[in-house]
Amino acid sequence: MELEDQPSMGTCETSGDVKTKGFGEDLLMEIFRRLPAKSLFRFKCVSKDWLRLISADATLQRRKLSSMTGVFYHLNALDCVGHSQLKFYKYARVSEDDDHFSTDHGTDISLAFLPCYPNFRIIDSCGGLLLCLSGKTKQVGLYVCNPLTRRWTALPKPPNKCSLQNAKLVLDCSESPNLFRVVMAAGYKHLRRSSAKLHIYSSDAGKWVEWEVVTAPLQYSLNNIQDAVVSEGALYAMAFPSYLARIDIKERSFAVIDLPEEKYHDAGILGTSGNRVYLMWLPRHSLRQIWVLKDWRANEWILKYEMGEFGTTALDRGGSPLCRLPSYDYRFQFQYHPVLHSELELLILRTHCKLFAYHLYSGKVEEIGSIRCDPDVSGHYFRGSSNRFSVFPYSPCLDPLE
Amino acid sequence: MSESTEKKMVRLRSSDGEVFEVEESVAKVAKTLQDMLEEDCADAVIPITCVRAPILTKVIDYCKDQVMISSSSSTTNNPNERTEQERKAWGQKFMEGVDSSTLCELLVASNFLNIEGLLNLGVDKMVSMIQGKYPQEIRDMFNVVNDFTPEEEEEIRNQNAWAFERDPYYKKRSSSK
Repeated sequence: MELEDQPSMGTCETSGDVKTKGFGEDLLMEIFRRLPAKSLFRFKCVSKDWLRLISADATLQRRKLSSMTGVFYHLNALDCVGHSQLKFYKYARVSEDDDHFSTDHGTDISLAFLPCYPNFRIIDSCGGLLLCLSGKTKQVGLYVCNPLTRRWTALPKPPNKCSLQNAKLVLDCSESPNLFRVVMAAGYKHLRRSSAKLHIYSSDAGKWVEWEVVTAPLQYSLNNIQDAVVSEGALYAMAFPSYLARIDIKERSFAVIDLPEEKYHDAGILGTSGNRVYLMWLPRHSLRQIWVLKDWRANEWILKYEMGEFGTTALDRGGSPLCRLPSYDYRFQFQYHPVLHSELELLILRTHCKLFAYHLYSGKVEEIGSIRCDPDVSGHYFRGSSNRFSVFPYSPCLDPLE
Repeated sequence: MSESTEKKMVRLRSSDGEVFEVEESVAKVAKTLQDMLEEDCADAVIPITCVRAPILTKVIDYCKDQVMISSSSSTTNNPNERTEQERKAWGQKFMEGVDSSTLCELLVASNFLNIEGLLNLGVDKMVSMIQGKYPQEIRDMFNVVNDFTPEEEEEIRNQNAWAFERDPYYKKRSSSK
């Protein structure tokens, strides 16, 4: 019976309670890898061993969190009586995998931990952070928070005459995961033809500083950075007549980039995804082209997607779930800005009552949430904000504000 | 198939001393056993010291099924070949009624014997059993001792507060009707 001396047999323990003994770390890790994020993070407090196993594997945590990527979106609940307006945000997850759409899009990322909850608005999002504006008139303040770790920080009082709603959150992971900046344009009083005034808050300095951006020779004034997008620490905004302005917040520099064609200025919408700047062209509310800025120094754009008449080729390209969009909503859809997700290459679209993720590469559409609440429950309908579609891409991250 | 006239048998002994005689092809589904058999230790009784008889029975059932599928798919007419869906359904049925302690033993066995398919089934089953549960339920299930002080546990809980939340506000509202 030489076999019994083999080391492979010897490692296996015989025991009355097989439940724990012999249940090695490799087996546990295998289970952890397949657990949903929420359970995994919850099991950190089972025991010190479990905590060690789960925390030791950083890639495991990161991958789990990326499966929770999604959007915060805004609902306006108009009271029947019409007195108060309840601000309400929901979170919807998008499927990472085009081939297997998740059926469960709801998650438990709540913003109830914010000190200004529920009277607040999300102003901007960047990576794993949200920039929020407290809604109480007497105590207007800006907050930056990490919804996952529930850490938040209140920003010092911003300079007067700034339009707080247009503040932008700028993160640059190449610097430090914890460093963020908030940028605001000074009010209209400071408008000049060839320069603009920005107020910048930097989390390492902890205070607001002023920066006069010289935009000459471009006659461009930065009175509104609301539609600007952020990529690698720089703001990108449309500039008249057919330019893209690049305002580097870190380096404090200004550059002008030509648009692929002049026509893109009027019906162009900016977005960022995977740290690249995208330009969506939507003449008459129909999405025709999507360009990607390959190299801003060389004015190099690439036409990445081209759609036919919307409602036919655009969504039908992948040959499927077009039928899930009710036909009468086709034109209606792009009256709301499509929002490009900062993490995944997909557009968030909406109809009057539903939210969709349009995966650009595969052309597939998945329904991720509903805008309207059940009237039986609340006594009224929730309606999305009418003019500007408030969708804030979010990719959960543990690091910032640690 | 040419050698099928003479089927080689292998004997396996469970931790509680029961001896199982199975065809070599069945035993070879387990990579660990396959390696051993190829080293030519065939006529001995192979002791599987960490697997009890009821678990070993289940493992052998699985292996027999695998052999049946692979042998039938090599013939022209393969009534036993399964589609992806059928395989899934079969796996679910195979794991049906398995309780958590049996499952633990089954996992240990398939890990030790290196049966990838069974391990996969088991891990999936385990994940479906434990996801959404609370730490105390997990400790009970796995007989894990909580070695945190209440303060330490509280701190980890706070750091991962989002993971401990029940249904979000809107879900509660809509489900309450």
